[in-house]
Amino acid sequence: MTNAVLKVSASISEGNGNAAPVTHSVPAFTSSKVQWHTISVFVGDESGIINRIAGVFARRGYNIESLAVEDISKEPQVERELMLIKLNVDPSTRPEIMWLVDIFRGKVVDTSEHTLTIEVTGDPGKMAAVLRNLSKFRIKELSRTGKIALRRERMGETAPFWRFYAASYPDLESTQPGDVFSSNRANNFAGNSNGSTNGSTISSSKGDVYPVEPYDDYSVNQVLDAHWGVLYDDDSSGLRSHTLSMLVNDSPGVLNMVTGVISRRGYNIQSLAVGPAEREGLSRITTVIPGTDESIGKLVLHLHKLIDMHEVRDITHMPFAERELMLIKIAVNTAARRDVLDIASIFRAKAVDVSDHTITLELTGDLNKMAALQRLLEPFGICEVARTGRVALVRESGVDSAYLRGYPLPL
Amino acid sequence: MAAAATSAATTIPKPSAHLSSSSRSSISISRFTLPLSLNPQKTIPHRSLHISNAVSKPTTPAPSSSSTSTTTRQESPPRFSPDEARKGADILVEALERQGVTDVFAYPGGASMEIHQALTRSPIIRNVLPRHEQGGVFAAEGYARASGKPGVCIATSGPGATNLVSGLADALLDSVPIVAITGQVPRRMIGTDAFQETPIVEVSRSITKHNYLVLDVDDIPRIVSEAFFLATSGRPGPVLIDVPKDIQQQLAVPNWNTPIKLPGYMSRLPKVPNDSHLEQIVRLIFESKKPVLYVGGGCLNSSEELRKFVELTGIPVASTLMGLGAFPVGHELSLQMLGMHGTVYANYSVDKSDLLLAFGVRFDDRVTGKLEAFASRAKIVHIDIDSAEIGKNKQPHVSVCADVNFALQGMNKILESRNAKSKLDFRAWREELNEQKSKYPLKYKTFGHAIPPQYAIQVLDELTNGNAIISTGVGQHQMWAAQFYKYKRPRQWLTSGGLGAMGFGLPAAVGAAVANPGAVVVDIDGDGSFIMNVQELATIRVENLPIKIMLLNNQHLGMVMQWEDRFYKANRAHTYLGDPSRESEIFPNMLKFAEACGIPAARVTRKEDLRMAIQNMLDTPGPYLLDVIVPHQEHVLPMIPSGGAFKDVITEGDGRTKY
Repeated sequence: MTNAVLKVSASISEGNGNAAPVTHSVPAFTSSKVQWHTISVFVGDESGIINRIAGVFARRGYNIESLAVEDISKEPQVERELMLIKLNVDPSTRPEIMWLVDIFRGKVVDTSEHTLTIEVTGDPGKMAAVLRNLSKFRIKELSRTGKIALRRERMGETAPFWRFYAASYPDLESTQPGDVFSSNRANNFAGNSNGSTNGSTISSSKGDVYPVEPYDDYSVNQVLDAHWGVLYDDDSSGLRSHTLSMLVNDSPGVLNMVTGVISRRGYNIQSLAVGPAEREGLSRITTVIPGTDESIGKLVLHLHKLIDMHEVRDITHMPFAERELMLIKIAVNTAARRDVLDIASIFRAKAVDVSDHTITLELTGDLNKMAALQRLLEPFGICEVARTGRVALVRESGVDSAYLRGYPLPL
Repeated sequence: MAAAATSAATTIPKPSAHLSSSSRSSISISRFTLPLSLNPQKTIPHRSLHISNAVSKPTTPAPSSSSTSTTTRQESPPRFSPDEARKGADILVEALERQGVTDVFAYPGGASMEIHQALTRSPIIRNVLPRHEQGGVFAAEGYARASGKPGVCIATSGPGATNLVSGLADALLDSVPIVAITGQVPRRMIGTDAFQETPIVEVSRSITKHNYLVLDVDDIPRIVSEAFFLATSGRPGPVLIDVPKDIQQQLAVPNWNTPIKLPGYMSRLPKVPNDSHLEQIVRLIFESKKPVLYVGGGCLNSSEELRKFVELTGIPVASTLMGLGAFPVGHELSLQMLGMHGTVYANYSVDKSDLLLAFGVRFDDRVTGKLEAFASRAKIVHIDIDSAEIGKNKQPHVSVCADVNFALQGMNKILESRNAKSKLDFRAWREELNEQKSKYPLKYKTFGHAIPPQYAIQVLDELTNGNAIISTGVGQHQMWAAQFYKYKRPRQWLTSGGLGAMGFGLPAAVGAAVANPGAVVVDIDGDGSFIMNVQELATIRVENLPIKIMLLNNQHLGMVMQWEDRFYKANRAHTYLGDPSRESEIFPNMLKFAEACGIPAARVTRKEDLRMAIQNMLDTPGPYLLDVIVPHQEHVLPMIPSGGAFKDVITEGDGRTKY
């Protein structure tokens, strides 16, 4: 049973990053030909899949191109990366920083007396320039998503996209994703009932070498949902999405090690973003994992046991700034382009590529914003979506609008 | 099988023993005098490490060592001048020497030949050649379990490396410090599915504490010292080092002063326990009426302190399978083993207790059964070195993440200052438990001339005076050996607890005998487990290790058969290990295995002859195999079915009744 397809370019570009040290250490063999390849992989939505992909990369070292489903590094492409930077500021440096932020078209997402958190998107070259310019102000924390990329469309082609005919736009009534889910549910249900009939035939062996539990109790929680399965508020069981921020050694296989612990202990990854951290030789992994406070607490303890792990923090209960980057390619002909651009401007999304049959938009924001834009654009026909995982930094200002909800505002 | 890679498979191997054993006596001391500049503690002066289960920093320089060391140094001049380039394999072997390694269990192959060549150049390290890599890794585990020092095993790439997997998993689950070194195909061939290539670093990632793929010859000194530090510090565990062949061959000058780089790990090593927490525990002890100690493998290095604690408080001690021997089993306050096949009184004590002192344990499902019912009346105090274990299965009321040894020291100090010995009085509680002890002792029945397996272990206990080092396989015989042998000290009991790996007994005995020359080592084995690593008989013969094998042969896979009897209407599903066409004969004839390796052996079938036969086994110098034929109907009792609670305990019955 394959679920909704999602694209995990974030982990892939980390794969590139991972491979780099390997190639450095054996320069004799490969230095002449080393190139950074961008690979996007479509994967089924199953538990442990990210670990498996990371495993493939780590195992094969720098030999990764052969594994790509589709290698798009030779095609013209739109590359973007999202970065959250927390800087130390004081009144004397603040103007200069604001000026730099302006130049790089960054956005300030949080400010406090001594710090400033900035969001910047752009291609790898711009990222390097931003870092070089800001490094003199002492970067306190840095969280990067890794690069995502979509191919630029050529003029005069048609865009194949999921379930829709390029010639005619579907009407708004039939929402397709819903169908997919309902069919999945039915399948799940059938699977469960099968299990329980099996269970009744051998229920005589209750209390075997391992305690036997009734099969009905064991429900598979489909939380790894490419769509919007995020749980912001506790449901009755206390299950919610937890955001973990980790600092790890930038050594080969470290991502596989981290995701291995997560999948081995039965947790699911909703989002994963990896990028170099503020210090040389360290990477910051930001990941979102659903669970109860208690179960995530245990996971943090297990992650602590990893030798390459420097720090794990569950920042769910702290105010934090969270951002995600999405590149979305929509099938539009010239007639409908205006409508799409109108929507885009409402969301402050930027158009980064346009052809006679598609338009590619770039959007940063939190998850709800991504969801809203994608829903609105769905009727036009979405050809491709590439999303980074979420990156998050704790707000030094200590204020998060979510925490203010429910309090009466003083008038 | 790794030898298949090399064309040298048919050449007669050089008897390695004579070289190493001749020089060995002087060497065992010489390691203390080596410049241990890599002692990890020195590299981080700002905090004192409390390495716990860790082992044997060479702390005990024998008084004579100064004199002998000068002589050994003269005998073995340094093989290389300090700035002379040497092969990576030589650097690796010297790094092992500098860690104090004297014995390794290494099986050669194409990708590890260089290491073996370097080993022959080492005057200090002796190789005990196992006959299977799994035997090698289990022997390294037996060595580590019996001595407390890290065990070292070496294997080649591919199949050699994958044969280590069971041992690594076993060492991780039982927290045994071992360092496994594997050869790997040359760097440029990694990832090409080369001959005998497996990505062992990937394979072993989740079953090692940490692992390394060496990609630079200059990293070897640092990686080896990190590996030994990781294996022995904190909660011990297995560490694997994968060394590509081209790195083994590359020439380099080692820098022995590279510091280890484990900042994250260092910062998380447990600190000295907080006195206020210990005060709190002591207060709970004073408040309690029915306290009980639940001690495990974490207490193996603190048996002195544990004893003192028990003397001060008078609290009875129940031990896990891994913790047997940490507190003498024969002591009047010992309740022996608890859990699925533990004694009735041990499980009774936990069930009825109002304070459970869980020291160095992990609330394993074999111990707890149904979690909700386990110690349901008790406040739980949990002390463990691994913070991830605290609250993993059962939420404690008070928890301390620290080395049990330091915690016990602190608590003993507090107890002494409060004059606990005269104030604490748990006599009524002990009476209650003594009543249970006399009501439900460990027992077995005798049928005619047949030898009850429990009786065989009892006789062995008597004749060895409880002093032998016992190793076991996995199954019924393992549980009986845990129940009926009276262990006096820690590191006397070697068994695969967490993983339950059959075939563990014989190679573990090899490791124990190598680590403790002169000690009586008995492998109590089952017929199923024995045959899984039977090839190690050859190792035993060649090394002339005085290992006694007491085989409890019931022709069945006993433990599974017991479950079949109880829960599957005695339907035998491939659990008969004899020859179905000739059920009256003992098959296979284990004596022939021994004969093939030149090991004296005997079979005993009648109870009257047993004592004599065991005495004979112990009196024979060198190795010996005693095949004890026992009835297959015996069940391990008492038994709490998994997921059950104390009230579900089964104390009666065997394979002669129908269920």
